[in-house]
Amino acid sequence: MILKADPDKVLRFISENFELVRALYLAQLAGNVISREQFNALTKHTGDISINRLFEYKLLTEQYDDIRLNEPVRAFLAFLISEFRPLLPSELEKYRTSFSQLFNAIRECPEGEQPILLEELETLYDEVQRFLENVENNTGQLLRETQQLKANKDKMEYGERIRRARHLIEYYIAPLNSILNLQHSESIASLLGELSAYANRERLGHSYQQARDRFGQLHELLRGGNDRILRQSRILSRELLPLIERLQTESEILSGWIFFLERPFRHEVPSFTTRSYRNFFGSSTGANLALFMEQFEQRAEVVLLQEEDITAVDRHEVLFDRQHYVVSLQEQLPVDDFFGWCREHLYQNEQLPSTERFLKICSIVFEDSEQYNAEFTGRRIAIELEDFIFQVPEVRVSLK
Amino acid sequence: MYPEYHREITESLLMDARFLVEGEPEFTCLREHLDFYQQFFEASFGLSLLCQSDYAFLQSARDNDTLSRDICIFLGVLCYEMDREGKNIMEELSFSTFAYEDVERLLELSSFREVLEATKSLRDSSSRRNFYHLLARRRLIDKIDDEAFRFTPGHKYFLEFARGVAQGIGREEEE
Repeated sequence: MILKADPDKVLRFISENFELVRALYLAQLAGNVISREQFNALTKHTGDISINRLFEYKLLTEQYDDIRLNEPVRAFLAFLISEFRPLLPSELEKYRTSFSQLFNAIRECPEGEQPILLEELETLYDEVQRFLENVENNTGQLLRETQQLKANKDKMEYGERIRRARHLIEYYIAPLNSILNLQHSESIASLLGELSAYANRERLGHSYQQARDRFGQLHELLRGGNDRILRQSRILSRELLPLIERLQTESEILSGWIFFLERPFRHEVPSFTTRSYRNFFGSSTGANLALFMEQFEQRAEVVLLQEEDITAVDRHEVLFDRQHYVVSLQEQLPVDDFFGWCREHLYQNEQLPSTERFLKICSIVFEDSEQYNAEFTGRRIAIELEDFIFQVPEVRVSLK
Repeated sequence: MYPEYHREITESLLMDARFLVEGEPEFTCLREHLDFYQQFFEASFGLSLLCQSDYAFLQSARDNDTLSRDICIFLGVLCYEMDREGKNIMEELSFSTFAYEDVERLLELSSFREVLEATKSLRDSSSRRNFYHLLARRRLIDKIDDEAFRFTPGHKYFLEFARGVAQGIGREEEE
């Protein structure tokens, strides 16, 4: 209780010294307490009377060597200035316990205990109201923090920005999202849904008039609360999360560029596209194609010429008919001059008498040497063919 | 037998070596026949076609491409300077028009001037004028008039590269 002034005087004092009060508030917001040095620095240009009044009006309290704003004053200033420390989701989680305890108490309230029922309903109403306000402040604050992080007013290093963004997502935004998720049965939002349904039934069916009125108020609040939660949830999923993700992507791009620019000529680069100077279509394509086809025409002619050559030879005649010579040799054995015989038969049977063919005929005796006797007379005779003259020994061949 | 814009697609990607970007009929046609074109360029020229939701180009097999390096340096410095001025890089690159004059001012005053001076095509404003022409031919930028240009979606390829570099560092740090 403030002993030394009326409430309106205190308010006037706050209003007259608002810049100082705001500075004190922000200092506490940043450091949780205001250290003596900070306090001295902030009040350097403030008169002693005003400094004393800060304590006399119980705006500030001393805690050992540090100074803090009195809690109701802090909350009031937070509301005025709209700068908060975002609540950790566990701070919001405490509402789950108080909601469910009050809910149970209301449901189990025995008939005839109206006064306590009314008080419980009133408390629940206040508690829901505070929860909704806290959630709204929290999303608002998170949105502002994210935007500040994005604009990088504090000139933070990129790595630090990514870490901040991840921190916000991990510890604040994602858990808050699950508290507000209406689809999730464990979320506070769905507990409020249950409460709302119960209040809706009771506001019509409760036997006691005043209780019906209170249930009616609670139902109204919860119905509106549902919309408010939905709105916050939408801000989270439509603005905050994408904003943070974009921020993270952007920071990654920047830190990537900075790393690259530190050694731009040694770092690998992405493979890009290169121009191809081959002309695939153009004014000369037709002419080129004609030229190209011409070579195939010539090649075709060459092939034809070769075919004519080949057709001039009767392949059946060309094949060496070894058996024919063996048979006629054996009919005529003994033969006095074997090589002469060979030459004679060569010219008798072959259309193209060649040296090669002559040697083949000669070979019939040597290949089956076990069947024949060969007697060498010791004389040599000349066998004349198309392009060779063989000096061969005179051989007499007979069957064994 | 061939898709409607076959000749234009082949000429743009292969001979002009430029991006096809969303909004061009050739790009739509390419996306509609993506399988065919991927096989076509692979089988005929041994080149792989990179096609994203809003840009496409033929990747060359060269791993040390001067133009690619120059673009990385240019975009890197530009992004750094835009961030320094508190601008939102991705939004700027996607939606804003850039006056040559402003870009020139950013580059002239950049703390990465040494890097720019060591890069032949970015060394001074007359070299950079040629560089802008080249970027326009490759369809990384669209010239609006003599004074301003806009980036096409093709720039995202290089932003993705930068992001990959950062993620690579992140992974190394984790290891």
